[in-house]
Amino acid sequence: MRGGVIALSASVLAAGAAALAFNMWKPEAQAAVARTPAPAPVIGRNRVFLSKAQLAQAIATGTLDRPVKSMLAVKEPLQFGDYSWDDRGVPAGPTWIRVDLKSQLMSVFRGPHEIGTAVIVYGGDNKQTPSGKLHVLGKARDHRSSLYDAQMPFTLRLTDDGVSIHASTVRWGAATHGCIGVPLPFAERLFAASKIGDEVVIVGGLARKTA
Amino acid sequence: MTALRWKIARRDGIAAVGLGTAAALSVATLSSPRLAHALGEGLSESVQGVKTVAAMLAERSPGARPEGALASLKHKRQAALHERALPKVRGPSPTEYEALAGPPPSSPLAPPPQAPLYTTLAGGPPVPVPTTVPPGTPGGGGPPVLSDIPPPGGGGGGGFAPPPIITTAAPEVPQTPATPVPEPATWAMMILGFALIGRTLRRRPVAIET
Repeated sequence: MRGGVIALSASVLAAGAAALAFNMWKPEAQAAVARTPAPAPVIGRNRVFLSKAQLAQAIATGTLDRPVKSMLAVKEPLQFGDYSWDDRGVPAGPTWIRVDLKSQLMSVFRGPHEIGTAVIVYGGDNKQTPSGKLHVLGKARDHRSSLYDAQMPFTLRLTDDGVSIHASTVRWGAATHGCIGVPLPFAERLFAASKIGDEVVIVGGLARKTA
Repeated sequence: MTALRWKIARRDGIAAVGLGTAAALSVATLSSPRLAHALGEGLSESVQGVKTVAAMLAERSPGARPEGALASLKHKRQAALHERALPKVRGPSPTEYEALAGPPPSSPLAPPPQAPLYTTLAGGPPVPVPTTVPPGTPGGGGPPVLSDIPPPGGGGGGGFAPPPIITTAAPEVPQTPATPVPEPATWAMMILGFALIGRTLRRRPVAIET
């Protein structure tokens, strides 16, 4: 019996020391080996890392058009006006935006990791949002539309005829004149994260006329 | 006996080592986010490995938008604007009304002059106005009647002149048109009502949030 107690306490001590050593030793080892200026931060926990089979399936079905490593883990369906943003620990990389009109969702990626998602509003039946691979042509923080006489903060212009991503009231049944509306806080983050030339892939609508 | 005791002690020791390792591992997992992430990544790989990306996106989606959502909203808004832009409904022009009603009474004592009810002959009984029908028209033959109802036809005409159809002039009563602008008394009553509502609202105690 005495032997059991001694063994228990010894093993607890040993395991605790091992965990402590793991915590203390790993960053030093990384810094020593990698010699990077900033140690690789921990990627947020609320994301799902895709397996190779998942990625292959997504590319084969056209859901994704490039390799993606992780998606944000959204626990429940987003309501209108909801968004999720988590870029903690995501390394720098090219920002690209995926817009799905049918599911009314936008996903913002930095490199192979998704950093934000939100419910969107898009063009109505008579003013449809174009689909295809577009690019951010211009940015305007405090844009006011002269055509519709409306404030459009954090505008990312996509086409020459004015189709843009901008902050808007995202509510059920609403639609735009072709623009993509996102919630204001999300638009602010997206505006800060993107730059001119970034790619925007819009799926689920009519193909854009190239003529 | 000693050997048996040693066996029991050894079994206890193995169990204790297992228990202690498990406890220490759980403590280390809770204290270290990186270890937890490594474990969680492994777990999520195994649990969510079957879920496709499309399924993940569908789970967070609020669903597709119903067809024509904007069209219905916009049409309603346009209709409301159109209604607001309708012009005011106005009555007949005052000159026509004055011509029908005549000049206003000059003195309250004197009886107001009666406006002529009949445009043709004022004061007298209605005088039948004979309307001549050209002779030789078939269908005549009924007795002369003093009404607007056309006389019943009386067989095929025999070539004689039919009796004249007599009609009377219908009296025209001028209708007083409702004025689209409210009277001063109506205005006063409305303003008084708004004042009362305002006073009631001002006197109502305000709920204070605590």
